[in-house]
Amino acid sequence: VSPVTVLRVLGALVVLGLLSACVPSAPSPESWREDARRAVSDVAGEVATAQLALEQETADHLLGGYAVVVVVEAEELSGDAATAFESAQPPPVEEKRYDRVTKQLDEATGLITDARIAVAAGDEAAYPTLVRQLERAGRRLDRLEQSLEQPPGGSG
Amino acid sequence: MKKYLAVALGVLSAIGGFVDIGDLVTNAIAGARFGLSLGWVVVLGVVGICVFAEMSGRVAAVSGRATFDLVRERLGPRMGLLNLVGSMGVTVLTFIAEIGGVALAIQLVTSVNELLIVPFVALLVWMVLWRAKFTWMENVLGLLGLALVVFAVALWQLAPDWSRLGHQMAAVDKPGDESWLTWAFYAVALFGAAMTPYEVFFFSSGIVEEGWTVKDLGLVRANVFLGFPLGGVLSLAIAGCTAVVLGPLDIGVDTLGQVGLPVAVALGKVGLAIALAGFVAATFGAACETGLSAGYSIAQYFGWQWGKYVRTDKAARFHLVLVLVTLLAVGVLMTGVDPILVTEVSVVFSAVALPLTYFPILVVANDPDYMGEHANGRLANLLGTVYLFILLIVAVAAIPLMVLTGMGA
Repeated sequence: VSPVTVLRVLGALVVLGLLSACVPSAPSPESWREDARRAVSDVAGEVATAQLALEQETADHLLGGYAVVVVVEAEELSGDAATAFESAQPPPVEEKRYDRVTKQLDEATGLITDARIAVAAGDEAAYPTLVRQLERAGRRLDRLEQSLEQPPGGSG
Repeated sequence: MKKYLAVALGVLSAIGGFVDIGDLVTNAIAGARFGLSLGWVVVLGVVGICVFAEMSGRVAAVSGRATFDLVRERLGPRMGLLNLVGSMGVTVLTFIAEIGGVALAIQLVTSVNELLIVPFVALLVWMVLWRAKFTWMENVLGLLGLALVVFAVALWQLAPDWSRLGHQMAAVDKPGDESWLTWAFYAVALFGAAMTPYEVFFFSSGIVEEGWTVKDLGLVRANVFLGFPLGGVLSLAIAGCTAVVLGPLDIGVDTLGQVGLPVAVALGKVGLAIALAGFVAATFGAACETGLSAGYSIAQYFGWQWGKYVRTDKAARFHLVLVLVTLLAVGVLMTGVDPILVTEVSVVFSAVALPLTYFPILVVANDPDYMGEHANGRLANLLGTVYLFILLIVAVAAIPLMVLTGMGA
């Protein structure tokens, strides 16, 4: 085999690689569900963290800026988890649930942002409502996580 | 009386000094996710660190020379270099994690971004390493680290179902929603955190710094056999707190702020203030210990003058290493890398480096030419050999488990 042929084959492989990199590839439905469950679980954990921090702040159990730091970090981590999940291409059979998952993740991260704004502003009057909203969001995320254990059609 | 006070002080410092950012984070994560089902790993790790710390302490007290000094002489420059590279890499990584940990702890009180705090923490650490007396540094920071006892008080105050926690610890089991691979990854990480190599370097070099001799072997053993196990109890208390408060809420620990929340739940503001003081003291103390250990390791390997009791101009290269390592830590942390991630990586790589660190200690402690009548007895050799076997398994499994579980995700 001449060096020129080898170079041609290598060049063709590089071009093929570049072309395939331009097309976002969808993961398998099973792999997508696993990623979705993980993202929902991560965001649910951050929702619970924000809720616990708000409850402790209400009970005057936290010092100085502790609640602010905890809620800001929860906001960043939940945002990262939601963004990472949303940027992945869903398989065609899961497009409907992709919309449902992203909607709930966005709602949950938005709630954590509301909590951060309230804590940073020291708006104590808003805490009880936010705690209830975060609790409800957490329950919804738990149900969503359970439903993602089943393939589409097998869930509620 | 003075001697008993010295023993008590040493033991208390060892308890406070045992817990560092790796123990804090890894135990908190493991507790929140696995309850106390990995508590036996902490016990296994504490027994292991006791076995090898006693050996290296005995070597230092008998020979008046620290670990690397003897490893190079006894096993040759090649084995010594391998030992140096493995343990130095982990020690520097741990040093970076500890400085980041101090910044995170201060951030929790001040709300100032950790990146703005890191340079000041690093400067303070370096000043302590340069100017503070060794005994002051060891005792003051160790005693302040005792503030972490607040986790044990918080656990008691939370009134958990003790029989359930005991059962979790006794039964080698895992929660249903976790995989065995992830369980094994955290077992390796907890073991790495408990047996971090710098603890042994710092301990043995400290013995040389303080001029302890064969007459002080009782003091060495009191520090090891009382201080480290009681430090292990603190680790278990941290895991217990997160198991009781964060576990039922499905909160996975990703930040230092989450680690402190159970104490706030149990003891309110005062408890949290004590826990934060403990975070700062434990991580600052460990930053000083790892920084010094990095300097000790390199200086001992190359045969340079080293130590805090030696005048700065006489141990210039040792102090230059301290400056360079501190600058490296600041450089890495200023990239914005998450100190918690650095911590998680450091405990895994600590597990990888364990045989490189502890095998030479076993060899030297067993050599009658160096140790005379104080060479290892049968029990020390048996335990050392069994642990070496465990260390090999852990070291081989660490990286594959890290890759397969995506850092325990």
